[in-house]
Amino acid sequence: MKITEILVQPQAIAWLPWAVQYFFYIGSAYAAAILFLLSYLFREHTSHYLRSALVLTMSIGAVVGPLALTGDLHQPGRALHFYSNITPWSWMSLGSLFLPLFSALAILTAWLYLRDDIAKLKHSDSTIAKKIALFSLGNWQTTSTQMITASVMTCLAGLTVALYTGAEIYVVQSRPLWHQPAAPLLWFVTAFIGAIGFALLLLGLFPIPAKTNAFTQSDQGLIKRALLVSAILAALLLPIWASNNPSFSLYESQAWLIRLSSLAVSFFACMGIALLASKIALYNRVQLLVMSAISLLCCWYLRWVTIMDVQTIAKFDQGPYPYELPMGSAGLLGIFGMAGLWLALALAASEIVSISAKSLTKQSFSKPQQAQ
Amino acid sequence: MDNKRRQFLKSGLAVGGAGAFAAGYATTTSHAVHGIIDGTAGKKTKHPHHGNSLTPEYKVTENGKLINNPAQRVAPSMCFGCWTLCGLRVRVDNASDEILRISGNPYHPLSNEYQIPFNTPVKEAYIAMAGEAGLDGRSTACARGNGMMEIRKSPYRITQPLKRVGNRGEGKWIPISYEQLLEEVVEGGDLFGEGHVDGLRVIRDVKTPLDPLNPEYGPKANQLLMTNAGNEGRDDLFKRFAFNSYGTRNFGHHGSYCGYGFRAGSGALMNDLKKFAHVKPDLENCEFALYIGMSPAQAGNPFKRQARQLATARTKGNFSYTVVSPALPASSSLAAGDNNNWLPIKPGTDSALVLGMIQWILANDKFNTKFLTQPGPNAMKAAGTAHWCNATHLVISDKDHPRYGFFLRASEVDLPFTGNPLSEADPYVIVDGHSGELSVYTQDQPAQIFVDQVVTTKQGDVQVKSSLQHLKESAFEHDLAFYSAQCDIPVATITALAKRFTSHGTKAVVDSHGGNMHSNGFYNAYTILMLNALIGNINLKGGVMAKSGGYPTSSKGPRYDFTTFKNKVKPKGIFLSRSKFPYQKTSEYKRRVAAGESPYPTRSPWYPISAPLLTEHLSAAVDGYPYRAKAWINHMANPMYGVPGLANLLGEKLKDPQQLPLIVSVDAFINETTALSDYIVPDTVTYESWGMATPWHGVPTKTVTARWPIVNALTEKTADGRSINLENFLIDIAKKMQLGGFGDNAISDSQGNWHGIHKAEDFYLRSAANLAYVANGVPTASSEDMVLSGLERLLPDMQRVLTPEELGKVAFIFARGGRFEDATEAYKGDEMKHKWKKPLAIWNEKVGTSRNTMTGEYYSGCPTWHPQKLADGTPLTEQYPTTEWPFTLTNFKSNIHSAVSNLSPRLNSIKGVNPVYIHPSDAAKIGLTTGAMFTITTPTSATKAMALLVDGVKPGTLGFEHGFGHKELGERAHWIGDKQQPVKMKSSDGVNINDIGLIDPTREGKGVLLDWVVGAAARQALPAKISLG
Repeated sequence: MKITEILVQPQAIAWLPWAVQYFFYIGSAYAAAILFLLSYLFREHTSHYLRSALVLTMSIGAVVGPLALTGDLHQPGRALHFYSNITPWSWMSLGSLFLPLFSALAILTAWLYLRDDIAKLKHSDSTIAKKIALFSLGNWQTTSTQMITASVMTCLAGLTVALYTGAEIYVVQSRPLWHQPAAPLLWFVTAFIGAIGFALLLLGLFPIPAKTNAFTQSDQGLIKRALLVSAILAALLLPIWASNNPSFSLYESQAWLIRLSSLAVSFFACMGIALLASKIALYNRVQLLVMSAISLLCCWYLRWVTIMDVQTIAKFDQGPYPYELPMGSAGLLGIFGMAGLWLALALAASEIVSISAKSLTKQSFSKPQQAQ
Repeated sequence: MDNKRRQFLKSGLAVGGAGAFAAGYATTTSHAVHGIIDGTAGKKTKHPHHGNSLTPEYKVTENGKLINNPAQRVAPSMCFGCWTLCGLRVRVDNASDEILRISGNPYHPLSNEYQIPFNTPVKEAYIAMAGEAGLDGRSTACARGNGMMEIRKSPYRITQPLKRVGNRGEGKWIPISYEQLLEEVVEGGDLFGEGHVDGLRVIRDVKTPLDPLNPEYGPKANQLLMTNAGNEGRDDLFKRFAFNSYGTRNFGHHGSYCGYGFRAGSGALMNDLKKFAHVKPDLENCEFALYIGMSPAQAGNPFKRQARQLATARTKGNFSYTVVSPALPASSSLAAGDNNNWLPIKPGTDSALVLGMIQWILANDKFNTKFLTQPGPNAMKAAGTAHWCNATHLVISDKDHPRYGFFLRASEVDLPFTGNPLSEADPYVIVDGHSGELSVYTQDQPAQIFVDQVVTTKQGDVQVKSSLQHLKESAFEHDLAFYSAQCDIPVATITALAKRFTSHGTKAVVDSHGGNMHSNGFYNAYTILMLNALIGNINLKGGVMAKSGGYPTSSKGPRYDFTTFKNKVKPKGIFLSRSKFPYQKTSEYKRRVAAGESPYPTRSPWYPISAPLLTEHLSAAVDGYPYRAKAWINHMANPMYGVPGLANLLGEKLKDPQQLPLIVSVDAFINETTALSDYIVPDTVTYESWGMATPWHGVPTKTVTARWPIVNALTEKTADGRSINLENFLIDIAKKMQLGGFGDNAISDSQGNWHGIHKAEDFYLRSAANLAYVANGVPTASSEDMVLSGLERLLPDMQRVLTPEELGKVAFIFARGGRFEDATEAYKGDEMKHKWKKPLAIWNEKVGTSRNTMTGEYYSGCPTWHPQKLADGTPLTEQYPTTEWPFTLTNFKSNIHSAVSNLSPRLNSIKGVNPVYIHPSDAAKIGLTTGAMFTITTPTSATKAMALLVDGVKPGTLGFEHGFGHKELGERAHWIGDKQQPVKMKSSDGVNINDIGLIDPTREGKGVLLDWVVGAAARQALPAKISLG
C-alpha cells in the first residue's frame, strides 16, 4: 500500500542564497588561482593583461567569498568558535582553517604580482594614487621564485578549499543529489567557467589597449581551452548528477526539466564562446562583456540549481520545502550587494593595472620578455 | 570614449557597487556589531542555553529537594478540549494570572497509564516528575489539551451579558447589565420591539397541563427546554435547576448526536436502557482487540489513556488488533510490525460482517458454552463464571400472541413464583440442561441454550424459543455470501476474523465506542457487542470491564444532602423528543384507535427506548409535535454544528422568533447554535470554573475529577462581586422567581442545619465535602499540599462555607484535582474489581416488545440485519439508489481538532483545514487531484471540499475529519456594541459533514435523518455524489 502523509509541516530550507554566493566567488577564486599559475608558468606566451585579470579574479573572489559566507551566519562573530573548538572530523571546521589560508595567500600572490604596477602609481598625478604606490613596500624586485612559490602555495590552498566546500555538502546523506561524487565535481569544474567569466569582465574593465597584439595567441588559447574543457565536463557531469536521485526522477518534473535544459543550454553557450574566443578580439569591450555575462550566469545558475532548488525537494517525507527568494539582504539585495562589492573592488583594482598597463603596453612592443 | 568619461563612469559604477554591498551586507554587519556588543544579533534571550523558555515552576535539587518558584503556581484542573475530560496540571503566572503551560495531572488515571497513589503528598508527586524516567515519570496532556489554554484570552470570548439587536442570527449585539438580563429573561415583555415574549416566570406553571387534550404531555413548565453540551462537571446544578426547581421535563445534551447509536446498542446488550452502559477492553491483559467503526488511538473516549495503553500493548508481543473502518485510522501502525491491521468496510454494514462472524461461531461451536448456559446468578456462582446472560431464557415467539417478545414467566407455566404474576419477581423460565424439563432461571445448574419448542401455558400452547435460538435464527436469516456482499468483505476474511476472535478464550474483546452513527447504528452496535457475550469476556481480566464510575458528590452524601429541599418539584410529562414513552399509552393513540383508524404512522417517530434526544428536541419544538417550546436555555450545546442536516432544516426557522420565542445561551463563545440566541450569558472557561466530572469510561478504578477556579474568571462581575457564569445565572433566576433549591435554606447538612446556595462556591464546596467523606473519607491536606497546588486563593471561600475539618479534607481533594482510587485496585484475582451486575441481554425484552410508530411493526429483540433505513423503514438505497448516489460518506475523529477547539490558533497552525479523503481510483474517474476542490452533493445539500487522495480509504467512500468547517467560533466577526470581533484572515476552515446531512423525506413532521430505532444522529454512510470544481 502506498503511504500518504496527511499532516505535513512545511520545512524551511537550511542553506540560504548566501551559500550560492560563497560557492560562486570562492570557486572563481580557486579556479583563477590555478589558471593564474598556468599563465605565470607560461609567462613567455601569455600577456600581463590576462595574468592581471586572473590574479585579480583570484584575489577579489578570495575576499568577497568569505564575506558572503559570513552573511550566511546569523551571528558572524560566532565564526570565532571554529577556532576555539577545532573539530577535525568536520569539513566545515577544516574549512575554517583552509579558507583564511587561501584568502591570505591569494592576496599575497596578487600583491607580489602587482607590486610593480602599484609602485608605478607614484608617477601618477593623483595624490591618492601616489599614496597607494607606497603599498609596494619598497623598491625591491619580486623574484620569479617568490612568485612561483606563492602561486603554487595559493593553488594548493585553493584546492583544499575546493575539496572542503565540495565535501561539506557531499556529507549530507539525506540529499542524494548532494551525496554523490558528481556534485562536488560539478562545482569544481564549473568554477573555471566562473573564473573565466570574471577574468573577461576584468578585461572589459581595463582600459582598452591599442588595437595591437596586446593579447597573445596563448591568452586566447588559455581562455578557449579552460572554457571548453570545463563546459564539456560539466555537460557530461550534469546528466550523471541528475540521474542520481532515487526518490523521484528529475526528468519527470517539468520544473526540473526546465532547469536542467537551461543549464545544458548554458554549457553549450559556454562551448560556443570558447570556440569563438580565438576569433574575436579580446579588446572588444562589448564582446568581452557578453562572453563574461554568459559564463558568469552559467556558473551562478548551476550553483543556484544544485544548492537552492535541490533543497525544495522533499527529503524522506512529502514536503513541502517551499522557498521563495526574499527581496532583502537574505535574498535579492544580498545577491546584488555581493556582486556590487566584487564590482567595486574590481573597478578600483583595474585602475592600478590600467595606469601601468599603458606603459606596459608600450613596453610590450619593445621588450615583451620583460613585461613581467 | 575619452579617459575622463571612462573614469567618471567607472567611479559611478564603483560607488554603485559599493553602495549595493553596503545595503546588502548591512544586516550582517549589524548582526556582527550587535553580536560583539550584546553577545547576540537577535533579541537578547533570557538565558544563553535555555533561551526564552519559561522559568521552571520548581526545581528539584540533586539531593531531591524541591525549590518552589514563587512567581508561579501549579494547580490541578480539567481539560475541555474534547469529551475525554483529562485531569490537568496547569502552570500559572502569579503576577499576571495567566496560564503558561498545560500538562497532565499525575494523580489522574486519564493522564497516566498508572496514576500515582492518591495519598502521595503533592510535593513528592512533583519531585517524582523531575528527572528522566521516560513516559512513566511523566504525566502529559495531548496537543489539544495544551493548545486549549489559548481560548481563555481569545478575542472571540464573550465576557458580558449580550442582547441581540436586529434580527435573530444577524450577529449584532449590545452589552446589557446583568440586572437587565435577569429582569428580561424572567419577566418577558416586548423585549425586541417584535411583540410580547413570555418570560420564564409566565412559562413556569407546574400544574396546568400544557395541552388539555393530551394531559400526559405534562404541565406548561415543560415548554422550557434546557440543554447543555454534556456533563463537563456542572450537570448536577443544571439539572437541579431544570428538573427540581423549575420543573421542566425537557433537558437534553449532545449525546444523541455524539455516540448515541453505539450507546443505545450497548444499552440493549447490557440490559440497561436507562443509562445505556457500555464496556471497554482491558487493554492491559487482553490478547486480541477488534475495533469496529472506531479508531482507538484518536477517538473513543478516553482516547488519550486508550492510545497510550494501545501503544504499550502492541509492543508486548502477545497482543494483536484489527481495526474495521471505511477510512484507515491513525490507530494502525506499521511500526509495530504485523500485529495489527486495517480491514476496510463499506460504511453502515458492520452488522453484516458481524452476523457473518456470529453465524460461523454458532455453526462451529466456538462460543463460550460455560458462560452462555448459566441461566442466573446462582448457576453463575456454581459454575464460577464472572457473569451471566439470558441466552437460555425462553421468549414467547408467536407473533400473534399478546405477549409476543416477552420472556415466559414461571406464573405462566405453573412453576413456583413469588410476588405478582408477570412482575419482576416472577422468575424467567428455562429448559434445564440435564432433564430437558422447564425450570426457572434461579436454579444453580446450566440450562439449554438452543430451545425451540411449544409449551403449554395456562392460556394454551405457545411457541417459545430461547434467546440464543433467536440470535441463531437471526444470524442464519441470510447466508455468508449475502453478508459478504453487504459489507464488501470476502467470506474467507469474515470467517478468518471469527476464528481469530474466538481463539483467545475470554482474552479477546470487541469495541465500537463512538462508531455506528448510521441510520442503522443501533442494530449495528447491538450486533457488534454481541460478540463479547458469545465469548463471555464480561468482568474478566483481559476481557471487557464495566464502568468503575466515581463517588457521589452533589447527592445524598455523608456531609450534605442535595436531594431534598423545600419547594422541590418533580418533572412530569413526555419529553419533547417523544422518547422513553410508549406511544401506545398516549391520548393520541387512544383517539385514533377509538376513531377506528390505524394508529400508525405517527406524524414523527416515537422512540420508546431512547433517552431524551437533542436530535429531535428542536425539530419537535418547531413542528409542535408533541408540543411547542416557548423558551430555550442552552449551555454550550451546539446542535446546529453537530446534528447532521439540522442547520439545513432549522437554520432559517430558528431565526424566526415566532417558532421559538425566547432563546437564552450561556457560553463563553458564540457557536453555530448560540449565534441564534436572543441573549448570551457569558460563562467561565474550564480553568476558571467548578465541576465534578467522572471519566466516560476506560478507567478500571473509581475516579472523580474535582475542578475549581485556578485562575480568575475573565467575565464581568455582578453588583455583589460574583463572576457572571452559568451557576450564578441559574441561582439568580431561581432566587428571582423564588424557586426551591437555591437561595436561602437550599441544602441541609448531616445535622439537619440548612445552608444557602447564593453562588457557585456554596454548591461545589459542599459537593466536594461529600466527596471527601464518602468511602471512609480522605486524610487532611498538609499546608504544603495547599501551597504547592495553588489552593491558597480558595481559602476565603472554603473558610466561609466549610467547617475546619471539612476544609482540610476538601483541600486534600482539590490539591490533587479530584478523588482517585489507586491503580492497584483494578482487579480482584482474575476478574475486574468493579463488575457489571445486570445479566446481558441476548434477547432484549424491551426492544423486542416495542414498535416502530411509523409502521407499527415490532423491533427485533436481538441483533438482526437491517440495512440503513429512513424513519418509515424504507431502505436508504431504495430511496437513493447507488446508480445516482455512488458514494457514501464517513466521518472520523481528528487527532488535532475537536468540535470546540477552533479557537486555538496554535491548533489551527498545525491543521487548519480538513481535506476530504478520496480513493485514487475514484478520483481518477473525474480527474481529481490532491489539493483540488470538488463538490460533494447529498440528497439534501452540497459542500465544496479540498481533495486528498489516499489509498487509506475504501473506494466509493469519502472520509471527513471532524472538528472543521465552522461558521462561528471565530469564523465570523460579531458586532458587540460598536466594536467588531476580529475578522479572521483564514480563508477556509474546511468542511463539516453535518452541513450536508440528510433531511428525512418520509416523515410528516420534518426532521433530520436519524437512526430508525433510537433517533441517534446519522452522519455516517450518507449517500453522495461528487463533481469537479
